[in-house]
Amino acid sequence: MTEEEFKKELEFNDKLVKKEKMSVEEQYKDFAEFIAKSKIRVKKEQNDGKK
Amino acid sequence: MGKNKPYYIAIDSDVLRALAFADILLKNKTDFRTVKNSAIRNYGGYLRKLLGYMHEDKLRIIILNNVYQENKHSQSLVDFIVENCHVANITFDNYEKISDEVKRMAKRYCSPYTDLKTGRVMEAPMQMVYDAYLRANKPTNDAMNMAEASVIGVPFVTLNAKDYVFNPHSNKEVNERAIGILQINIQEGYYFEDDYGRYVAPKPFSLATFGALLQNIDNKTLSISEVPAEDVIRAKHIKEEIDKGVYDVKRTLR
Repeated sequence: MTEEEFKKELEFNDKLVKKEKMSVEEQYKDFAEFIAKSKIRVKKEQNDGKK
Repeated sequence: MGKNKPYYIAIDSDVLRALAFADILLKNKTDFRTVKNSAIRNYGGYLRKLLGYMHEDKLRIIILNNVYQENKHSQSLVDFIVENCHVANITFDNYEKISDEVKRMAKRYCSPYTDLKTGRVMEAPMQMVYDAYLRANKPTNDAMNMAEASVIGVPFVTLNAKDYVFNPHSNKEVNERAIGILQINIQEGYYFEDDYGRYVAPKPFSLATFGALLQNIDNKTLSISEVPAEDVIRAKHIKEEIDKGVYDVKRTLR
């Protein structure tokens, strides 16, 4: 992929992102769906939040 | 962190894009000096170093919700994320709880806070912006990213080289906002005890600062977010008094 192609892909991405209107909760639900469907690695060892 | 345990950091969209493009260039054996991209030209050395540590599994990159949302329509970036990065354990069962806590912490960064050493009320380290869609003020994306990094318990690395980032070589004034974020994290209980019994708390760094600190990644003394134990004690004391409704700013001055 060339620099120009990468730049165009980012511009296309940014246009679509701008059009999207989701609340923070809806975004997190969408993110949870992505995590469940993709093979991305999950940080298992959580810091368990607060002290 | 020790030799066997990978170090986790969260990054902003600019760092993600720079890392993904640097990865493409390295795979194509393209000289960084031949591209126009300013992040590659300015931070090529650090990006190369970060990618090297990621491939050796010494460093793991956490993708935050906001960063995913800002880049999810680029196939190259999504591929890079899935192949090279990690996420926090966000599921259909816990996303609402995490979302509420991230919003609360982001708003906390946009409110005045009590300085742990002086007891003075300080200006908010981060800011709200007006959102025409919501017809209300909301924390900036930077504040949301920092809040999620804190809730997950990892430092936040950004390409933003000024404003709210921590720079150990700058004077106190320059670091005031980063210190504010750190103090709020301690006061809210977002600090942890590392494997060596030291307290650490999430803090924002610029890519350049973080890249320079990473030269000690193999060294057990790498503890870039260390918090003095006395700050933790003061924070607990203030929190207890606030909870009891007996907090007196003057008392913390002693």
